[in-house]
Amino acid sequence: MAFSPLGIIAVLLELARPLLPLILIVLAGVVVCVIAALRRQQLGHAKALRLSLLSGAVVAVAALLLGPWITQASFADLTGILDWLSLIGGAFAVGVLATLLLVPPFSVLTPKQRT
Amino acid sequence: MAADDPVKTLMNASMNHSRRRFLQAGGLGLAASAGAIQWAGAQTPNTNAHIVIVGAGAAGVSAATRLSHGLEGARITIIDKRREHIYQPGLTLVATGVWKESKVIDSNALYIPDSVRWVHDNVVEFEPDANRVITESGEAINYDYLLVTTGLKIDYDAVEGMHPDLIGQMGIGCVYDSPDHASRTAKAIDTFVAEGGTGLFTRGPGGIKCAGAPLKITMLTEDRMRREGRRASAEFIYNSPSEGLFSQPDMDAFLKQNFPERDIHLNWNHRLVGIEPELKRASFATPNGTQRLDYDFIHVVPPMCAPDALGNSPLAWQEGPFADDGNWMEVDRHTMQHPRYPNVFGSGDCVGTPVGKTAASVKAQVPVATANLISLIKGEAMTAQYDGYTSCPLITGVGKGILVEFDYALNMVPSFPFISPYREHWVPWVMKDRMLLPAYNAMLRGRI
Repeated sequence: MAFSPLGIIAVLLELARPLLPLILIVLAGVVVCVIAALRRQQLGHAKALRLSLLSGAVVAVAALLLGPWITQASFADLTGILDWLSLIGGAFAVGVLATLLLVPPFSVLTPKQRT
Repeated sequence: MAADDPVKTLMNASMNHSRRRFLQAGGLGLAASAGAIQWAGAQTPNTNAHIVIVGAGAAGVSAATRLSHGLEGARITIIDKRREHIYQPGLTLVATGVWKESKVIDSNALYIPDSVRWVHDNVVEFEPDANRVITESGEAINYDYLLVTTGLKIDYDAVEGMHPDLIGQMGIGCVYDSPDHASRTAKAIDTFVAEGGTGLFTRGPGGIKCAGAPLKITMLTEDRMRREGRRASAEFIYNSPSEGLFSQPDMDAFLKQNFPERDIHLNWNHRLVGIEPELKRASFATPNGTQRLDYDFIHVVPPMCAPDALGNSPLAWQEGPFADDGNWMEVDRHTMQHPRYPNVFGSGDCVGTPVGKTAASVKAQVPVATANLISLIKGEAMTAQYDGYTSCPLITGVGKGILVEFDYALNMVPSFPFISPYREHWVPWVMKDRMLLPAYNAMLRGRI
């Protein structure tokens, strides 16, 4: 049975629905940080980007290590390349998302280095 | 009548409209007096048809959503007393302690569109010759089109000595029917895991809903005992009423190899016919007569059939295997239209088709039934076809499973070609544990 791209998006939105309050709070925080960083003209400065990338990498590695455990499984249950690629891909996506979300707060919280 | 013949089908539909007009003209006040179809033109009909949906399970709710989106002006009524909506595919996970009961309980009110009239009652009589149904409270509800999505009945009475109140007591489990049953089964399994002994696992004969559930309960329980280091304390016996474990041959072969490897003994042609709860003894009908087996835990899977109101009505198969098996509703297996009552369609567990009775079948059947119903209302040819698609995320243990999808021809039809339907993976487990409930909810909202 084929799933259309819109169908897949619908399923992902349903997946996110129970987390909607948390998602809205996080997004509101990110927007506030973006506005604050833009006012100070320091959104996405080099130090903030470095810290975000580093944090994103840590989150990705954590997701990689904890992925099976979160699903009540273990690494022994990963039996083929499909499972490993899915885990690595999922962890990478989580890491990228974390990086993107952390850029605005790090832009506000860390001082811009003067050149 | 040949349901496969579109010309005949349309003629039947046309005759039906003529009959309605005749009845209206005669002032008989039967179903057709609801107004029915006002043809504004051959291509762009304007309808105030009254569509009645009986049953607010997965099929009924998703059909209500689809019809309310796909039709202008139609009156849609859904009849069901249940206010809770149960995510039945999750019951195996509740029964094996993986999920909490609350995760599978939802509310129908969140999914039934506001434009749909919801009658909180149950249908006790179908009168398709008069285009009406009678509810438990005695109300007669007329329709122009009927969509039957009643679900099915677990026939506990077919197992002598069995009663749903026994579930959770004296080593008796039954995953089906309700979250409460699943939770009570989980408690019985907890005791079995802790104390060990003989575990009997059964499967009702003929068409049953989620035919993978009896297998999954067996494998998840065995997997849990193994993980907890208590496997040696228990004997597992799976009793099949036939000489197979699964209708899809590749999966049947896999399981016939996998069960013995896991030291799960297989009894063929063992149909559960009775239990003696006090003695913890089960009776099986076998080719060699009745055989009695003692147990410490038994997973009872009674036979299943159409609900009495449907099974005793003219809408049921009148003869043949689907009549003998469970008085299932007669539909054309491809169009989901009733061959003798063209303004009646069916979907979900209640219909007599060769494979199905899963939420995945509902996902494939409902778009066909509703599209063809809309085509019929418009006076167009019905082109939507159901190919028998069904799916079973066959969970072989916590953390792994096989995503099995097949059709009427029993051919594997994987939605995601990169997921092998022939070997255990972690990904199908993640799908079952995390993704299928959101997919189910999207189906109820008519989005997939």
